[in-house]
This record gives sequence, C-alpha cells and structure tokens, in this order.
Amino acid sequence: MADWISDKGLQTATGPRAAGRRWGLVVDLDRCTGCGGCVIACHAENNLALAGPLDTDQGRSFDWIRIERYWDGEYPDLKAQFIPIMCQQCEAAPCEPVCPVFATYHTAEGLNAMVYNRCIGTRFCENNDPYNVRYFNWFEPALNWPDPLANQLNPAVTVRSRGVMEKCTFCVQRIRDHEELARIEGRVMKDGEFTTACAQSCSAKVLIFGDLDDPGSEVSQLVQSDRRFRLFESLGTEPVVYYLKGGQG
Amino acid sequence: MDRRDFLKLSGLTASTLVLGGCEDYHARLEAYAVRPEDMVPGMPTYFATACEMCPAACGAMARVVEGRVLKLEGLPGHPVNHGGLCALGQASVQMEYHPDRFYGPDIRTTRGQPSTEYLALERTVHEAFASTSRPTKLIDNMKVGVMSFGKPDFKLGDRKWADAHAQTARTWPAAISRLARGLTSGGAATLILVGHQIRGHRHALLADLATALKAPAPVVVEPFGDDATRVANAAVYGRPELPTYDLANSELVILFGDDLFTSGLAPTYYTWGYGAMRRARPDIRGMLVVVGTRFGEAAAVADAFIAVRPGTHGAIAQALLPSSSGGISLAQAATLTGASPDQIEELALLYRTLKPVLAIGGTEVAAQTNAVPALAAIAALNVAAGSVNRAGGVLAPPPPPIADMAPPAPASYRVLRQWADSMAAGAIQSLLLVNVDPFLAFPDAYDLQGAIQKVPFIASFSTLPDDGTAMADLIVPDSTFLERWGDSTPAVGVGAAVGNLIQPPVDPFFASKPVEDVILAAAKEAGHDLGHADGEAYFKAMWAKLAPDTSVPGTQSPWVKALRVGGISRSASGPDYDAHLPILTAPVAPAFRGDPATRPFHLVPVRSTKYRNGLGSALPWMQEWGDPMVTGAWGGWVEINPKTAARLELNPYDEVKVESDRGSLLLGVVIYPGLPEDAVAIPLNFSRVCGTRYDSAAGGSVWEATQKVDPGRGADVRALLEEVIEPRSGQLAWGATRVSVTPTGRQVPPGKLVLVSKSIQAQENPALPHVIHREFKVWPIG
Repeated sequence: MADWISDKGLQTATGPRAAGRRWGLVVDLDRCTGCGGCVIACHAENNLALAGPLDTDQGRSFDWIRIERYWDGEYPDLKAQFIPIMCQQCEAAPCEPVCPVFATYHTAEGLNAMVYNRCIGTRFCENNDPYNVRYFNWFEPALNWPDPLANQLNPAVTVRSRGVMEKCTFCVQRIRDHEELARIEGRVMKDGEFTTACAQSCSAKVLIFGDLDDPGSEVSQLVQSDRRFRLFESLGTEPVVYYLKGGQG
Repeated sequence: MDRRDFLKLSGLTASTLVLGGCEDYHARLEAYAVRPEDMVPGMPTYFATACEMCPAACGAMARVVEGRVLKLEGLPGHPVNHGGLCALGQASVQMEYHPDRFYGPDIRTTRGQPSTEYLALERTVHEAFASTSRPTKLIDNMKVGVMSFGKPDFKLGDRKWADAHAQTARTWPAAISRLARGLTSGGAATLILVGHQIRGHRHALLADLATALKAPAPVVVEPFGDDATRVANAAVYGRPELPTYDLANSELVILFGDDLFTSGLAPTYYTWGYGAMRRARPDIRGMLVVVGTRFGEAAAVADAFIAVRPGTHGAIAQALLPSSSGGISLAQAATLTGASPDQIEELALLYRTLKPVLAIGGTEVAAQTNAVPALAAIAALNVAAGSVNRAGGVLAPPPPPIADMAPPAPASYRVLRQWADSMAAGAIQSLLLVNVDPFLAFPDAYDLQGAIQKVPFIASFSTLPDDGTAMADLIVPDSTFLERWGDSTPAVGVGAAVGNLIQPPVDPFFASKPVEDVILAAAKEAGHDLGHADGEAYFKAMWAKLAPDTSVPGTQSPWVKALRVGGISRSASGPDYDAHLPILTAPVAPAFRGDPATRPFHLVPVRSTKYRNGLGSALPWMQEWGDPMVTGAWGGWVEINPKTAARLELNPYDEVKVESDRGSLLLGVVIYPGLPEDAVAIPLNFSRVCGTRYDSAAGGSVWEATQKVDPGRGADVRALLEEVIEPRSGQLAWGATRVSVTPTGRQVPPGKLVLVSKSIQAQENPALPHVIHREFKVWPIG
C-alpha cells in the first residue's frame, strides 16, 4: 500500500501536500445527539436522489453521511452509541486502486474524488470499501424527483446518473467556490470561512471541517486531543476523519 | 463535409429549433440585463429569515440562485439555533417544491371533491411540466430561469404556464368573495383554528379578525401539546410559561422522558446546549442522566439510563426531594418504578453533589394521566436544588421585543374537544383551518370528522393536502414561509428576547397567497376593514412600533436592520420566577385503559425525530431517512423487546395486529432492545388518510424511475389511542392505552416497513466484526 502511495506521488497523513492543504473532518462523538440534521443537510446540498420505499427496502437509498447506532447490553442495563459515518477520505484508500478506469482517485489536497462520467459501475470500489460509504445508482435518479421537486437541485453539484457510484466529497463544490473567491480577492483562504453542509447544519458543533496542515486551524488543534481515534485504524487506510471519543476523558 | 458546410448546417438546425419553439411556445426569456437587482446568474444570494417548520423559531439563511430557493441554513449566532438547523428545517425546501402543493384556490361544490375548475388547472400545470421539465431538460431548466407562475413578470414558461396564471388570476377574486361570504354567514359563530405557524403578528391579525366578527379568539392547535407542563410550571415556578433550560451551563441534567434533543419544542436550542454542556467548558463535562421507559435518542447519549415503568417517572423525582415537601424513600421509589435502588441512590448522590443541576420533564411524562403531579415533582427538583433563576438551571424567558408577538399558548385537548362538540352540536357556522390539520390532535376514538361535517362552511389555508383540507369547501393555497412575510418568537425560553422577521426570499412558486393578504381582502369585502392593504404593509406597520435607535447617527430603521440580520434579539431574561417548593402528595399512580389480561402491553407512542409535529411525514427526505434509533424509514412500525419477540416467535418484518379497545393496526415488527418486555412503541404522525403521495395511508402513486407502486404508509397510531384526559390540565393522555399484539403469520408487504441497513457492520469483511468490537464497542460511555 505504501508503495502504491509513493508511486502516485502522494504523501501519508504526516507529510506535506502539493496544494498546501489537507482537508480533514473531526467528529466529536461527545456532542452528537443523533438528531440527523447533518444527514438531511447533505441530501439538500449534494442532490442525493430519492429511492422510494421499495428501493430503500432493497438497500438502494443514499446517505453520504448516516448516523449509525450500536447497542450494548439488555434492557434495562442498556447502552447505545451514535456514530456519524461518511467517506473517510482515506490517504491510502482501498477503494481507489481497484477502479479499472481511475474514476475514483486521490487529489493533491487529500480528497478521495469521483469522476462520475468516467465511472462504468463495476462497484469494485464499493466492494473494497471497509466503511460502506459508497452508493450505487441503480436507476435514473432524476426520475424520482416528480415535478416540480427537481427545482430544489443544487446547480453546483452534478446530478448523478444510472450506473454510477457516488459518495461524500467533503462538499468539494464549496471548497472550489471559496478557492475562487479567495483568488479573486487576492488572499489566502481562512480557516472556518466555509464548511461542509453537514458541519454547517450541526447546532451541537459535532462536526468540524478544515485544513489539517494548517497548525492554527480548529481541526488541527482538535486532532491533538487524547480522545481522538480513527475508524478501523488497524486496516492502514489512513482516514482523515478523526473521531473524538465520548464519555469522560 | 467541410468546416463551412458544417457551420451552415449547424446554423440551419439552430434556426429550425428556435422557430419550432416560437410556434409552440410563448416563451419569455428575460434578458439578464433587466433581471432583479439581487440576482446574479450562477451566484447564490442569501436572505436572512426564520424557519417555521416547528415552534422553535430558528433563524435561517435562505440560499437563492436565480429565483429558486435551494437550501436553508441556520443563521450564524442566532440565539435559538446558533447557526445549525435540524433535519426538518433542512427538508423544508421540499415544501416549496412539493409535487402535491395546491396550485391555486379551489372553490369546491362538493365537500372533499376538487372542483372541475381546479382539476382543469391541475391538468394545465401537469401539461406545462411535461413540456418543460423532463429529466433530459433538467439542467436546462435549472440554468435558464424560474418556472413559477405565481408572478408573471419574471418567468420562463410556455403557453400552459400563461394559461395556468390566467386561470388562477380569475379564481382568486372568486375565492376571496367565497371566504368573505363565509365570514359574513359565520359572524360570531366563526371558529378559527390555527397551527404553530400562526404566531407573532400573524396570530394578532387573526385575533383582530375574530374581534371584528365578535367571534372567539383563534384557538391554537398543537398536537399532543404541553398543557400539563404549563400547569405544573404555574404551580411551581409561578407562571405557566415554558422556561429557558440552561443546559449549556449545567453540571448535571436529569431528563425525565426522552425527546428533548430530537423532537422537543426547540431541538436545535437544546442540541446546542447539550454540546456546550459536554465540551464547551475546559474543565467541566456536564453529565446527563435519563429516567424513562423507552430508551431513545437522549438515553443513547446519556451517562446513565434509569428504566422505570410507564407513568412512574415522578416517583424518582420525589425520591430525591426532602420528606418535608413530599419526598419518598429510595426503597419506596424502587418499588413503585421498578428501577434499581442502587441506581436511584447513585442519582441522589449526583443530585446532592453536582451544581447547578437541571431537571426536565419530557413528553413521556406528559403523556400520562398523572402528568401534572409528576411534572410538578420534577420541577420541584430545580427549586430544591436552588437552580431556579440561576445560570445552569431554569431561567425566566424575557418578553418578546414587540409586546404582541408573544407566542400564544396552545389550547388543551379538553378545550379542543369542547369546540369539536360545539361543531357537532351545530353551533359553529364557519370554520377556518389556518395552517393546521386538526386531525393530528385527536385520537380516532373521537369522531372529529362527524363533528366537522356539521359546520356549514369550512375554509382551509394550507400549502399541502391533509385530512383537514379534505373536509374543506374552500382551499386557500397558502404561501410557504419562504414566499411570504411573517414574524415569530420561540415557544420556549432561549435566554434572549428574540423577534424573527420572516421575509420572502422567492416569489410564490405556484399561485398561492399569504394568509394575511387573503384575510385582509376577504375581511374588507365582508365589511370589516382591518386597516392594512396587504401582508407586507401589515408587518411593516407592526415593526414600526419598534423605536429606532437614535443614539447612533445614521442608524437604520428597525425594519431595515431586521431585514439584514433576520430580526432582533437582545440578551435578557425575564422577571425572576417566584418559585416555591410545593408540598407534594404521595406519588399518583398512572391509569391505563384496557384490561391487562387481554391487552398485555403498554403502548408508547413516540414523537419521532423523523415525523415530529406531523409536517415531517409529507416530505420525502424525512420519510426516506432512517430513524436514528430504529433505522426505520417510510412509515411506521411497532417496536418490540427481543425477549417478547422471541416469546411470540416474531422476527423483523413480521406483520402483527396491534389492537386496543378502540381500534387496530397492521404493522411490521422491529426488534428493539430499548423497551421493557411489557411495552411496545409506535411512532406518531407517520401517515394521513388524505395526505400527500409520500404520507398517504393508502399509497398507490408510482415511482417513475422503477415503475414501482408505492404501498402507502398505512393508518397512523392515532387509530389505537384511547381518549383519556389528564384531569388537572385537560391534556390528552396519549400514553394511557394498553394493546395486544397478535402475529398474522405473514410478513409486511415490501415497502410497508423499511429498515435502512447500510452500516459499517454490513460490509462483508470477515475482519471487521473483530475490529468493530475492539475499536468501537468498548468506548467509555459513562
């Protein structure tokens, strides 16, 4: 895996990036109430398709970010825990090398990107994704926006078509918008001047997005916490989504 | 073909297309040179406004691109939501573009049947959609303009849109005249029922109308409301208002009943407070203890969960109180509630040592026949701990910035029932349903339909079809809160005086009109001039009551300033509560309807995160999203304890008949560990008899992508509820029903119960369960 990374000219989590930025997300599980505002905010921002009851039943609905809930124990000695799961934008993403057409690849700023019109729908990436955060379009999704519901679609985000894989992009359209704005204004993007749709919706400030390579950014401060962990860290996927444990400590 | 030929051919093709278009359409392509000043092609414009999907009154920013509102965001720094916005608020854009929105007014000749004129309008609109917005042209439509026919000056459309506009332009005066006749014939016997969106000065205007008609004041309908909480607060704090719960500064929060962060009256405010309580203070991590029957969202994030029998929450509170004010022993509380004595003792220790402490009664407590004494005991915990009028405890909410914006108190179920009885007795001549579906507030055990049928004239002001509009003689299509003016204040205390100004970021998408415009016009025609030309003029006049700040030269008027920042807010608290520790009697036992021998299960109706106050069910995002605890989507289900399920030989997706003495439902089974063995839970408000295509009980609509027929959501849990009234507050005790559960031997039809299954555990990697166990399940929770 390490060889593959160096072949692509990319760096691991500790190294610098060509673009000077390394986007990351911190999820503070001690603040999360499982309210789901982030889930619907993501739907609204990223044109996630409606599947309908029968296709949702077939596992064909879309949630680029979802709230998973895990039980432990029996009533009444019961515990449960929420964890928001989205694409972990792994530095050593196992979904990337298996794509036969390079539809999914790593950008210089650390995003696990998708080229929708390159995807041929092999679903190899989904098979190789340990986080189960990739979603396949089993049907022409635009058809499930009956008139005039399609008017809610965000023109900054591609409407994916049938046969194409999709997943969380860290709201790349917002990154590009603010890069452009900063360029026009002749300045450097500031930490916190924009955030992802999920993080913006969160009243409890569970989700914090920013540049991990900026030592002054909030995310780079938070990932120093003793509470931090990464999901399935032992798999060596080097996620850039850092979770902060709940509970005391 | 050389380059010259290609260009010739291309030019010819383009000309043909253009000419062909001219033959078929009256397309009006507005040049961007004459566009509205706030519209830049491709660039979003943000409008400060407020969300009206629930009574929380969150500040919002509407993102508008080329005349279409695309997204609602939380308003940064707003005292209610602090920049966030809940799932229902995020989904509100689907109200704007809902495929089942009323296209125009409908003057019905047969109650429950759309008029021939409205059906013609519907056909026209569908033909217009068919000609302009199929998926192949989706992107084109998104780029080139607004398809609205609500405002003809700026639109892209063909002749059909013009026809639709002309038709609604003709119908509106007739609809207003019909309403005016209804007001005249109703007179003093007019009843105005309003929903939570009718508040602030919208409520004041309807109150003015009622005064002019010499009719009773508007009655606020809040399904499964907070009457018992208000009565208990009046007894303990001295005022019947819903106070500020200052979670952010608390060290210990004891939550009795479980819904505060996800489906309470101000979920974003409480969620913000919860996050701050946990991690905003460098050296303090506040603790949360949940006392409840059903283990729900709040219990999942709590440090401890104390399970109690339904309706016995108050006994735990009394175990923490001194005996001089009615406190009981820990052993007595353990016997009454079924909770572990050790847990109660541990809670008592925390209660004594951590300060400030905050005790909050939730809807699980309010749903019982002993709601008022139980909630009073819980409120007394705050008094005994010295947490009233103190940061981190219970604070009095300040008055709103403009006096007549105060949130109106909802009517209790008993009062609503009295009005329904008046309808049944023929004492009501005209009924105005303003942004409200009254059927959500009544169990099916009461024949509301029969009562409403007796009213000679019913007008329903609504954006979407519901069971109330199905009873109306006149449908007045109301503009959404993204298309009209308005103002609001929070229903609960949020630690600041807040007055939101709601402005219309976009024109009405269809030919809807705001309630204010219609009421003012109809009242004038009926001979009651309320003194304002339209809604905008009305709200400007109301906000002119605020004196401009003359201390700073060049200060903008309050109206202009409010338009810029979404309203006004001041950090303030109200006059302190004159709280006193009540002398409580012995814990009052809850009463349940249904013989335990034949109805062995307590029914726990759950106000779910997905469906909330009933608005959520109509929105497809809210239906499709998996419930955070259950993972259920698209409709309802019945939650059953794993041991009970094993005893009844039930598996997930098995169909059961849930039956009370009042009715029965067929539902799919969810094995849910968070319930005792003698209780089942069903979400509230997941369907309507006459709802939209997404929450219709019967279903039948076709999903175009796959040509699959929607099976429908089935009947709502209201079909099971007994009509039991809490005697001290008049509130419906919706948790006082016992039911039986009988397997039918079948599985539910596909689509009737959907459990969203995608998870990290579902990925078929043999190494992962071990990893999950090691890295995930061993988190310290408390």
